[in-house]
Parts: sequence; C-alpha cells; structure tokens
Amino acid sequence: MSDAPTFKLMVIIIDQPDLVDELVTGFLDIGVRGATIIESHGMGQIVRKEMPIFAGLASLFPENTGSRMVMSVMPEELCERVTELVDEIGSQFGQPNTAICFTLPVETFRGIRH
Amino acid sequence: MKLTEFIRPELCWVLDSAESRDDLLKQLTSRIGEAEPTVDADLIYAALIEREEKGSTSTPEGVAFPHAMIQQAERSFVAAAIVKRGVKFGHKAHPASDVIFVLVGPKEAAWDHVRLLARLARICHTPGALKAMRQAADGDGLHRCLVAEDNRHV
Repeated sequence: MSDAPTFKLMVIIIDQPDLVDELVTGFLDIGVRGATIIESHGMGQIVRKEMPIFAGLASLFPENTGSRMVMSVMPEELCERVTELVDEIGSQFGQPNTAICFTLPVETFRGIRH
Repeated sequence: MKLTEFIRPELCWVLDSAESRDDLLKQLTSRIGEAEPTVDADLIYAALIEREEKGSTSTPEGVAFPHAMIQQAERSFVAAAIVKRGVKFGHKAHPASDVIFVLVGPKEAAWDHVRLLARLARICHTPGALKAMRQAADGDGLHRCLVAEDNRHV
C-alpha cells in the first residue's frame, strides 16, 4: 500500500470571468500553488450566437459573455476547501449558477523535467 | 490561511494622521519594533521603502499592503492600521490610503508571504469589510473587526 498522496483534477467553470481574480486570490490563500486557466464558451453562448435555427428558443439558454475554465491538480484534501471557496465566491459576488466545479481522479501525476 | 494566527491586538492601531507615506511607515515600523522586539524597526522600514519604490502597494479602494521579507524575522506577522487622514502611497490614480497592512516575514517563508497577502486581499474585498474596519475606534476594535472578517472566509 503506497503512502503517496492522492491527487485529483479540480475543474471549475465560471460564467463571470471577472470572478477569476477572486478565485485565484482564494487559491493562493488556501495553498493551491498552480492552475491552468482557459477562456471558454458555454453551450448556451454558442447556441445563441452561432446557431440561428435555435434563435426563437434562445431565452432557454443562459446569456453570458464567455466563461473561464480553471484546472488544477491538487492533493485530495485540498479539494473540499476549494469547493467551499467556490461556494463562498458564488454567494458573495455571483448570480445563481455562477460556477460549477467537479473533480476527477488522477491516475498518474508528474512534472516533466527536460 | 487564517489571518488570526499572524495578527494580534498589540499590532493594530488607529492613527490620526501622518505627514507622508514615509512618515507613516516610520511611525508604523517604530510601533512594530516596540511590539516585536526581535526585529529591527529600521531594517523593516528600509525594506518597506525599497519595496514601495519598486511600485506602490496601494489599491483603488484606499488600502495599502507594504510588505517586506527580511532575513532577521523569525516568523511572519501582520500589523494593521487605520489612518484617519490617509496618505498617498505613490500611485497617481489611487486615492490616499487609510487602511494599511504591513506584512513582515522571513525570506525563507516566501510562500507564507504570498498566502498572507492573498488572505488580506480576500478580506478587504469582502463587501462591507473595509467600512467596518474604518469604523474601529482603537487598535483592539480593529483587531476584533479583523478577526470577525477573517472568520467569514474559508
């Protein structure tokens, strides 16, 4: 049985890009040292803007100006704190459903050195 | 990272005024030297000024975070002050700063330094937090306010 820490991939998708600063500040505070942040588009945005056949039903899909996807591999014990952080940011600054987050198991993890 | 582990009432003050940024930092480091006898107030002052000269630590909200990592510090700590008549910290677009946090820590604890700065940023960004701090009547009141605000966060 290995004593190596278990890592998870934490994925957070935020519908309000300006809240990324709050998230990154929170990451630093609670000890997350790195993350990858990608500009992303929700399906609703694509349907609204690029699929005119659905134009009449656009109101079914949330309107936003883009989103950010934040990915970070972290020890399992940090995941719960990050989830609490996302809840806190959502309740303090966001609208309902401002963000979603989920974790995935990481089978292997290593930094590559050249 | 809980702020409460790094701040205590003896390091919180409410001041009337200061003539300038440098005068304020002189006053604060002198007080820090009294409360933390293991550190050299002059050394901290010089390090804070050196950091400010690289770029102001003020924010548009009227807060400043002067900070220094020095070899001599045995541990990280935060001092906080409300300066009723704030002082300009050097950034032309920012108003005078009246909420001041001084961070001091050992050079080998750089990550603690980053985390503390992040913690303070979160606390200051909480709706209503700065208003509550500015209403503190004295150092004890400011300390109580900071503990309460700290406890609101994950």
